[in-house]
Amino acid sequence: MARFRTVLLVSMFWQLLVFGAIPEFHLVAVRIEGTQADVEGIVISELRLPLEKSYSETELFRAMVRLRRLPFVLDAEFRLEKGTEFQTYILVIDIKETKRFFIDSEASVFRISRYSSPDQTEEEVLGRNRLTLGYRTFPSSQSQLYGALSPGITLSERDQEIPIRATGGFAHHNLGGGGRFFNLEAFYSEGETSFGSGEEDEVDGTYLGVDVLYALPLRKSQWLRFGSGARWDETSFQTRYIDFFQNQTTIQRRNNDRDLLYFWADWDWNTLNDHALPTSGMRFKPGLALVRQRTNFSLSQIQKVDEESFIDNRDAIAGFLTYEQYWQFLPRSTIFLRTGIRVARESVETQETFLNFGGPTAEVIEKTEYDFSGGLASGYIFDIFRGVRAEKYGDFRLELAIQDAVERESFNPILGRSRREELTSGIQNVSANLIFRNYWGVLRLGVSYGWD
Amino acid sequence: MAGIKMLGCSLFLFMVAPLIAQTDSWVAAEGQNGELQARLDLGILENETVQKHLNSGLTTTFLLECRLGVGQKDEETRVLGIAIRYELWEEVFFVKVFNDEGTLISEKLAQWKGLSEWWNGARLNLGTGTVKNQAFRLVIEVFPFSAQEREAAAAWVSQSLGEGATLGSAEANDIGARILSTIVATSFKRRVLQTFSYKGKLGEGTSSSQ
Repeated sequence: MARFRTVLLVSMFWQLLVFGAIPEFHLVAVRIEGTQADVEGIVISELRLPLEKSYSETELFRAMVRLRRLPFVLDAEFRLEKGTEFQTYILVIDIKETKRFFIDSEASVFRISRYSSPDQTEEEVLGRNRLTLGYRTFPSSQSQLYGALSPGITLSERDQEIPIRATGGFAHHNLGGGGRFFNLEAFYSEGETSFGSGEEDEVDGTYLGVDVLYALPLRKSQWLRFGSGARWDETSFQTRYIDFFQNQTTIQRRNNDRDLLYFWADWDWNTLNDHALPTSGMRFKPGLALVRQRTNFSLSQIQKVDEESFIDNRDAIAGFLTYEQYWQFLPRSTIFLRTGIRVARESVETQETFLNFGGPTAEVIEKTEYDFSGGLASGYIFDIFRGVRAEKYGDFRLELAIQDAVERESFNPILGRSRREELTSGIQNVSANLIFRNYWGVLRLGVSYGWD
Repeated sequence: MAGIKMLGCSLFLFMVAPLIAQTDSWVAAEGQNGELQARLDLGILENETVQKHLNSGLTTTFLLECRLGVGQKDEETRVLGIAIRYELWEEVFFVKVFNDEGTLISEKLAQWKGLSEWWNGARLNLGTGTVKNQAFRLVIEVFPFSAQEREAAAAWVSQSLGEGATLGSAEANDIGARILSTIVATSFKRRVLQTFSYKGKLGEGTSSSQ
């Protein structure tokens, strides 16, 4: 249909040009509806249509596109009214403003079946409920400041995690001109995990991160994107052991401090018709990333002298590639394919230190590791709402997917097999998700079943 | 009393049913050469969203795609376009029917009445050489002339954002990407094209969906 549509549109353009039937509209006034007074000036400025001049439909639609690019404009519709004199027109612009508050909510249940031994399988149920509440404001016509709070609960049969996360960001939609996009985002997360076992294991962690993204438009549908980010996290584990022979409680404390810094660049070729819920088009993204990670583990047993420390330094270069494609074969039905791989070469340096009565002993190991991860998913999408109902209430869809993911750590592609242990894990799962999206937010409800 | 209501309902349905049947789009092979003709559903024109676009003073486009012999080896597709613009000062509708070879019909119709009469009586030629009783599927898409520009506008922001940070990082930060993604997803009102589809056999009744 898309090919025929293009042919017909080109044909129509040609027809209109040849027969001189392109209508022109002499504008004498512009009236804006649906906005508060403080943004009218920005709308008029971005419209770039001086009065008492004639404009073709194409010029009017280009102006409409410019308005729709404004971050605070959810939608802009144009219509004409008669002007004061014959063959003059008033351009009426109906603006719908972006909602200041936004919501992202997810509730999902994941049941996984694992083979623990040849004749035995273990089943585990994982649940995840998360709610993000956000607010945005628009300091200028091209930028927005946003903040969000995400309390969430992750549940499994073994443990319960209640992290809370605060995020703040600034996005500029035309930084440096030419439609370049910039985003700076920082977040802070703090959470507690308590295990339900008799060992009373507790985890407490703080997490701080910053991300920067700068995207340069190359051609239509193509972008060159650069990003960088840093993470600092500190996690402590505490476990109580009861020694029945000595009749005393031993508390073991482990601390994990990690710094992570990364840079990445990718080429993003994107013809998807929608960012969040696409039904046609494809997205192809090859890229490179440099990652530097420093981790310091320490283990101490209170009431004993024992203390160990372990330093893990990793410098990695990674190549990644993702591809996704959507085909709409009926007005309500779409099938999709998503795949991605990531290959990383890691230089690892570990230093293990033991502190005993005999003094500290240290062991340093340097090695190169290769990690590979890949996944393939395909599925079917059914649009429950469409047409007038979708436009009125929002998009509502059912997504069914089957996916296979594989991860290989420490394998050597040259020797075929690492001298050290090669870890390969794979997981398959089938999932069903209900997704609702309108201009207030996105809601997801999902169930999935996985096995390895 | 209940009997009178039943009778009333039956009479109403009896009177309305032919009207409903008439407004359905169908495709038929007619004439000596077996010309394939499409008739248009008046319901499309009366659709609230379509009417709003038609009255905006700017062009509204209807694209017809007719697939013949659906699911068969010799399946073929015929396409046609209709462009309609209301001229406020003259109070007329300009109508152009076109295919990839050029304009087939050019009309100037007085007000809404003229347009709906033309629409109701239109027999749009989709070509010749068809087989009677062949299965067909007719899809009519309606959009303002700006559809392509609108999609480009949505893509403009969509493409610049996304989950870049997660891909580059060994540490996937799904929540951060999700916030940015939500900001994008709630920054555009997704404008769904009006699509009407009909299927049946040439010369027979049709079933329709919207």
